[in-house]
Amino acid sequence: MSEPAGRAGLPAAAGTSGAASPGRAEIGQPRVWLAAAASYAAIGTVFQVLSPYTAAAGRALGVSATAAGLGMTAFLLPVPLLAVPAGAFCDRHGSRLLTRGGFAILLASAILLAAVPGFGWLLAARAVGGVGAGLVMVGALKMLAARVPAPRLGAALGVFVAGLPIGTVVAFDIIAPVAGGQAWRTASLGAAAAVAVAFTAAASAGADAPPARPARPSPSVPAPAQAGVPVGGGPRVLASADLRWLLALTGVGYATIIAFTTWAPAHVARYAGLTRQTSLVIASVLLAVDIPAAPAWGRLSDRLGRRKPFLVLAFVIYAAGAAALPLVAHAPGPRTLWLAATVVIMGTGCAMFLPATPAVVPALVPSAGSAPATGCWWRPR
Amino acid sequence: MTGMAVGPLALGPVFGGPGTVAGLEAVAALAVLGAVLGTRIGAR
Repeated sequence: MSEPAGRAGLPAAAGTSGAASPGRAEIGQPRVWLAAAASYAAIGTVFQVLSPYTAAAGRALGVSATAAGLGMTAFLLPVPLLAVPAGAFCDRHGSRLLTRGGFAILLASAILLAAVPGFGWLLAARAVGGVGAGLVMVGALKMLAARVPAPRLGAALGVFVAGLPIGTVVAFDIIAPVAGGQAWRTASLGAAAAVAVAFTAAASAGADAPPARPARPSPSVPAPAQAGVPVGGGPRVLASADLRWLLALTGVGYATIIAFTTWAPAHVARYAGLTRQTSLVIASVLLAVDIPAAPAWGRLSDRLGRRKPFLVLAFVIYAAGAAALPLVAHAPGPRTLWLAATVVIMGTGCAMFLPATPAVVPALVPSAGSAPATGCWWRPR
Repeated sequence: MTGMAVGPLALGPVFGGPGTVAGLEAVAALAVLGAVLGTRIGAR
């Protein structure tokens, strides 16, 4: 399968300099996809495991449910702080160490959450989890960037982002019902088990990214072979106006998506008179639809060579769904069915957005090919 | 990736639990904002 370079305005190979290319052909794409999706699924499970339990955890720790909801924020806080340095580390040393360390931290955080004696500890455990999540995420993105040509990134990133809904389904629809309505500590141990399974799957795929350059200049390597090495990074990623727009767009997009999945489990039950478990299922449907739909939209985006229409249409669909939901919730007839159908449509929009945002970067930053997957998805040279 | 984390980070406390008022209207408003931002991206 070869697609012409430059189709869709995308460089033929995002993510690797020539020095980083060796090894791409040695590992089949399914293994690359498995490693990526398993990584994001582990993150999604630990991130979402608290969401159904904000009220229960708040009661147990003597704070309000809204305060307990800060555990979601605490999880996300380390991610932007770590993104660029973790990406730079990945460029230098490859993704293997970073990813494995991230998995270990993620696992430890889930176990710690199950044992926290107070609210401060809960926030600390969640922040530790965010550190692990940031490392795993950067490692997975680096690996994808190193092993997938740019014209096929849409499909690959679709598989990657399907990991988040897989994690949400695991947290909402498997762990929460098994653990029970108040047993957030048990649920957290369930998340730890899920992380262990995901790590085993990701590690067995063996799809790590090699370093983008030697850790130290080697006199045995001719100078031209080290050309194209990514240098710098950090705040320079925002020198591109398009990347700034993409940063804002990604922030708004994920805020919209996660706002709904955080809001829905607690509110849909009261809003539409549903049971808690039905609300959880409906909330998870938003992301569960992405499991098949995100790779499919990503593949279509690759074929059409277009990213932007998917970004815009995704938000239009999401806005229409959110606007329609109050009407649907009080419509006559089978409300649960109508609600689920509306959320499925919203999830379809979500599935357009998730792979398109990272996949658009090579078109925005042509030099991204030599310095993949750091702070703003990619770091320009 | 930074954007992925920053967006929910800013809104997490708002949407974090029962009793918050933002709800679906805010979700819809954010989605409209996202559509507008999407039109500003300089790529096909």
